[in-house]
Amino acid sequence: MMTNQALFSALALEKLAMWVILFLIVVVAAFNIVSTLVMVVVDRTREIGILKSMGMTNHRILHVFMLQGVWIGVIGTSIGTLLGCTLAWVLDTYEIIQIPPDVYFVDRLPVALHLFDVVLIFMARVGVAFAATIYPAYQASRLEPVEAIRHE
Amino acid sequence: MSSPSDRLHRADEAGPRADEAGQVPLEARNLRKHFLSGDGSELKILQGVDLRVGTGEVVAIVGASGVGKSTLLHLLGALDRPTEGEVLVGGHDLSEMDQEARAGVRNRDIGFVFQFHHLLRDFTAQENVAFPCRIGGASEGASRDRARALLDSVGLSHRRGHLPTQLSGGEQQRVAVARALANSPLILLADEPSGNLDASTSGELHELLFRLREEKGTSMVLVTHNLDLAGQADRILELRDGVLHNDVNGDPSEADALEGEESGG
Repeated sequence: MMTNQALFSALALEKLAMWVILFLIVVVAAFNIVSTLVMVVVDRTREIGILKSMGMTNHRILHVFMLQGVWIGVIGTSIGTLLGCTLAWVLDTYEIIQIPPDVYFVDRLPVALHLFDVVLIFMARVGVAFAATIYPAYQASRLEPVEAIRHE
Repeated sequence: MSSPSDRLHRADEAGPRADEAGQVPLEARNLRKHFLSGDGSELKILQGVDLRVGTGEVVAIVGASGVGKSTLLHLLGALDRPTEGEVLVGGHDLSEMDQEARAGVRNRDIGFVFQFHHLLRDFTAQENVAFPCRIGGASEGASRDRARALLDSVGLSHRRGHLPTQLSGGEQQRVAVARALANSPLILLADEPSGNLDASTSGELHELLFRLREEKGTSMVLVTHNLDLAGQADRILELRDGVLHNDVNGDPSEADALEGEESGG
């Protein structure tokens, strides 16, 4: 019983470590979206000025860039979710990863795919992508039209 | 209040909206623009510009490089705010408007033609021309029809599916003119519209601008170094020392003097 308790504690700690790693991956991905969008804003500065000269409002510029960021997030998250679920299914079905049974009591890596977890992570990831768009989109919307048009 | 589609339709049939509203299309009063230079001193670019452009009138603004012609045009077009003074478009004071309202004025009442066309590179000629209509809230179909009609009027109906990079410099500028007229603006502002074109193509563009003025009655302010273009305007004003100087139209000696200044740098 004492041995099992130690094992369960170790597994719980490992699960916590996995969540931390997952969180860090999400943070890195969020910064990727921020930097990508900042580069897009810089690259498209003159176009933003042209759109403003034609009467596009700050609000609509903001929406365009937020939409682009969220779109990147949704596409990336969907691809990631699909790949992750496929990998989990393959691991579960074909029992590819063998582990020593004298240590873990089972001879293969057990995989349990919970729909709730998948949906939660998907939603959280899209939420983070949305949050990551706010700063660059705000920057784009605040560009002065005359400065933007002169941008080389 | 008319819908964007109504406005597009009406614009094809009638003259500019200034006639309907009975307002002067564009007026500037005591316009001043100061910038802070790198050493902290104040650069006074415009020092009290007064300008009134009537319905269907074409005003050319000439002057040496760096005197503030483009700065003036940006202020007249609600792209920048003056340090002091007022700009009235169709009788409405831009200084009393917030960002959104100024954007609306740029969309409905002002058309810009820039020296380097400034077309959106990822969109076809037709899409570029349709953009102001879409921004103004017109439907996709109405915007497309309007863009086709305008491209037809500038002689580019056969090029509507081409990207800007697939067009010549003259064609790009004609698309830019068509785009500027998309919402039948009260006033068209052109900053060196032929400054990047050869003599022959410039002539074609000038002919197009004045033909469109005859057909649509659009008022224009043209900033130019090109004396052929300036000579066709109703008035020529020279921007010097931060203020607009008297009409130099019809005085070849003054025009020659200006040309000499320009070629001399």
